[in-house]
Amino acid sequence: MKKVLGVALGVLSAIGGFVDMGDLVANAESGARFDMNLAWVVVVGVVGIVIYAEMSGRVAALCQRPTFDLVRERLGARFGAANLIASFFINLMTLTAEIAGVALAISLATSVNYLFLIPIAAVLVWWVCWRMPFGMMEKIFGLLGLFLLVFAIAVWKLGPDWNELLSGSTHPSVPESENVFTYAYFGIALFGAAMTPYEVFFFSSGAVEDKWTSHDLGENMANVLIGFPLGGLLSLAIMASSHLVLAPRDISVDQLSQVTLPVISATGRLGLAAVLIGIFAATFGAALETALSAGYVMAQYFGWPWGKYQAPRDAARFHLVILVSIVVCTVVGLTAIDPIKVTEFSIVLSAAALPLTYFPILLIANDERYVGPDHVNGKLTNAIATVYLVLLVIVSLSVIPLMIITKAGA
Amino acid sequence: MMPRGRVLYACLDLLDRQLLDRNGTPCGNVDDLELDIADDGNVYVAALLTGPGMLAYRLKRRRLGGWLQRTSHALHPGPNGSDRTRVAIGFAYEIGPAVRIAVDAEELASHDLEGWTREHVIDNIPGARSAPE
Repeated sequence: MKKVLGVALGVLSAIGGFVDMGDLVANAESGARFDMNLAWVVVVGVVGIVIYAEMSGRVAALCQRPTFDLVRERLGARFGAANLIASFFINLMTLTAEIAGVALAISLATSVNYLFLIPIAAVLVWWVCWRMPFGMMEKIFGLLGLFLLVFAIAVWKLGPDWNELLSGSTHPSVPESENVFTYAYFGIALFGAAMTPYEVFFFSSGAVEDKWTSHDLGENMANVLIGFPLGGLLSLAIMASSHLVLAPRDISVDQLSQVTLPVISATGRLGLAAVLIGIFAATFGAALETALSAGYVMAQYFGWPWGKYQAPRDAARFHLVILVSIVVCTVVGLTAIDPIKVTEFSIVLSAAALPLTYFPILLIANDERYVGPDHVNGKLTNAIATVYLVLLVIVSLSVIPLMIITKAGA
Repeated sequence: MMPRGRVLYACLDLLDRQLLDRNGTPCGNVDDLELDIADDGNVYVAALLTGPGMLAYRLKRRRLGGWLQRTSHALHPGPNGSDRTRVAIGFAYEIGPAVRIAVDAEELASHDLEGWTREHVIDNIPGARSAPE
């Protein structure tokens, strides 16, 4: 049982990354507008995050330092500062959306206006960051997030034409109602969602919080090979369910409640309960990841003590950053800013900042002084990782022009 | 004449490295280095510099860096007015992925804000003193 729960870190990182507030909507929107023609992007994204998360987990296990911690010393203070500023800003935007997402999930279940629930959501998120042991947090939110598998059950119950689904996925094309620019924009959004930087910050810092050592390399592999593909599966299930239910009715997705429609139509009230639990857990998990990542990146850049495993007073500035971040994001959320718009924006910005995050990981995983001569990257890993890095640079350069051309995917 | 020491790529192996005090507590990064040129022409590292303003100064934000250094020194000077941002190289007993120094984190200026935050913010919130169980 312990072994099975040992992949909780990977599962939670994936859930917070793949099916957080913005991705729930982006995946559903993709399914509604593009059918399965963007499914391949999710697969490409999963392969990328698996490769890079494995590297960052390996580095963390072998030298007890998370990857962001190593960016400043390996790539210099300036590069590190650029990375810090970009990551921190994106984290804050995402955290705002996630706290609102938790409030929305509760609101869907209770019919209370989500704005009243934002402060409650914020306090809950903060309390978990403050007091809940890291291991317990991983397991609870990782497991509850798996309730989102109800989307897969919904797809199965809808009795789709599997051949059609498969051929749509493997022979992608731009649907007539869309153009190549919106296709590319959504593709980049999905790819960026799969490889969101805070996934690796959280995963590698979490590996240090869980006290992984060189004996845990197998656990690292299990975490990435199970957690992230599971996240990808959830993404694809949401996409497929939207394609099957929303697309034929020309329903486009711009609210969280619409994401749940396919599940309700296929599985009724029980499915609705499951999906609400899943959405709550996924957005809560993402809020935890981004709040903790805000603390991790700031503390690691400046060399402060950090970590949830110790008493808060022993990592005072770390916890202060988390507290202030949550407060700021709550205040912004209370201005009734549309959380969907905020996440769309943050997905795009994090896509632009992707190379900043992943280039250092590749460098450090090849550096004997950190991982030891026996655990540097193999040639195949390096080959694939380099291809992805090139891809990331292309994505990063094209995302802002595409956002302008397509008016953010309208 | 100074004895020959370890030869390092200072920027790669020393600069921006994590500093760990004698208890393993993180106490900042190596923000800058104090160099000494001996008579034989070799350059030696005399001290590691860390603390408020040191990094800013190195990154060419001279006014900001200088102001942070002076303020921090004025608020909390070392014993006999010494500089709490300076760690003489003799205190570094291990130079690897992190640089371990034989001082306590409290002796360094880089830890001042941690102490202040702990005392004035964190300790006032219930649950601050024990590790999550």
